[in-house]
Amino acid sequence: MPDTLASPAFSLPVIQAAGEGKQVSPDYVRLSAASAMALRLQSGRFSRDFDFGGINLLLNYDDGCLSDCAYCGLARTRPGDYEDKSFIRVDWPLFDTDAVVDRMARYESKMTRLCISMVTHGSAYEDTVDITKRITAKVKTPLSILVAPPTLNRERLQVFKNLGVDMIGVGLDAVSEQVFFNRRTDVPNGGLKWKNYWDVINHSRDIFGPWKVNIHTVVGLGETDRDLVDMFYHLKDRQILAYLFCFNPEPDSRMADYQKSPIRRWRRIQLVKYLIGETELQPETIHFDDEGNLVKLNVPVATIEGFLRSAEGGIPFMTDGCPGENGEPGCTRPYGSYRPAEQYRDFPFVPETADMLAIRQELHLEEIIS
Amino acid sequence: MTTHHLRTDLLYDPAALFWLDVRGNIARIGMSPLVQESTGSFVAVQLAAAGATVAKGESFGSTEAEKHVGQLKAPVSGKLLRCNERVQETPRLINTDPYGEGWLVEIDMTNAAAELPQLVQGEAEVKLFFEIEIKKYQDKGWLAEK
Repeated sequence: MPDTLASPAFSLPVIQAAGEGKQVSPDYVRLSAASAMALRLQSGRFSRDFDFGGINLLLNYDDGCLSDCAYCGLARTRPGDYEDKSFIRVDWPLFDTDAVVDRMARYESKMTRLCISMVTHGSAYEDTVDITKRITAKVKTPLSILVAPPTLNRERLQVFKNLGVDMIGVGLDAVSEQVFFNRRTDVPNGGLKWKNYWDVINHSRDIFGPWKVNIHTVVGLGETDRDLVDMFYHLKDRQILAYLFCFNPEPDSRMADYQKSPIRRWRRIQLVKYLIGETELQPETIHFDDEGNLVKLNVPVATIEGFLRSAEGGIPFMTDGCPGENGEPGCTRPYGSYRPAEQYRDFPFVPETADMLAIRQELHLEEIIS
Repeated sequence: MTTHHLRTDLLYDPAALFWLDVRGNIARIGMSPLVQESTGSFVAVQLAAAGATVAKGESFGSTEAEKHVGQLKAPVSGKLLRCNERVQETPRLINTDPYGEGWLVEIDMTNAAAELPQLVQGEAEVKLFFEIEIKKYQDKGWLAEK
């Protein structure tokens, strides 16, 4: 285990060499099931037909991720072998990295966004550099890295930039320091540091520029609506993107028995987050009760109704993720936050008329807009 | 079709590509290897209760795979005699043994004389039918490539 996770001061972890002959990164990577299907490395289909080109890679190690976040399928103390663990509740089959890159090149015209997800591991930085070089040598599709802050510093982020990485994502997940502490620091093998994460966010913002850094924010880890809204405004001020994720309990994780956010809360957060990011919605128009719950949105009914009926009305409810080359949604993670048999929490395509009718019912706008 | 051979001694539903093993008036029904492979790993199966009556084309249950949900539409009309409880407990059986332990239901047919001739049958016809279907599935991107 790298010292950085146990020590109060940030330091770079010791590089650990993988054993010979093991199917570990950089020569092997995991792919989300949807990515493996899109690259035709695995058979499968989606319930509805839609174009999908957001390819997510995940580093792979025998000893897995050294973090132990309460909600994560990769958590160190979650029961089971690392090979059998899920991440955002889906399987991540293992493939030869060069075979994956070859497929990316073959299907480049269908690819919208590529992303390497690091894990907290001593080899993660060097292996991410290696895999990035392999990808950028053959494929022009924009590449993001979802970074593991304990393994990085400013110099290493600059190396990513120099290698052609387009965007940096940081899985902050918890939108308040207290929730971060509860779920990611004060855990059996935890030790992740709020400050370390923000150091990496700030370095990334400096190096990659405005709207080229994104922060993953999860709804349902114990935060209030006010926490979320405050974070959305803070990130907008910093010209940093906020990407929204719905907590989806991973079996056997320490939060396995927690419930997802009620759909009403989730839809309202989706809408408000969009309005904060894409319009001039002012903080004083959003009202909370003493517990931090969103209770009123001081916006004319006609304005919201008009927006929801417009061509853009479904966008707030689509999957939040890095864009494709032309600004279209590029990383849509189908069925990442819900099972195929459940209602879409976020849509990997523009919601259709029937979807919008359901969304409007789920919002119960009459309760917060008068 | 990479891990299971196509059985040409069975009848196949041209709509949903179920296989039917017909013995007398009883048809045991399951998913063809092409459907199981192109759908992905099954995680849930729900079947109607034994004793229910279904018309051809009506739902007798549903399946959920990693990225897909679908209704099971009856390829023939009749009464559900048996539903495979094991496959409801272990949906992956559809993937691992589609012609065997992964069977779905047995139907006591009520309109066999009219409906059975509409099924794909005979070695040559079955092979040709699946050659065309596999090409369609490949074009849709539902099958892994070597």
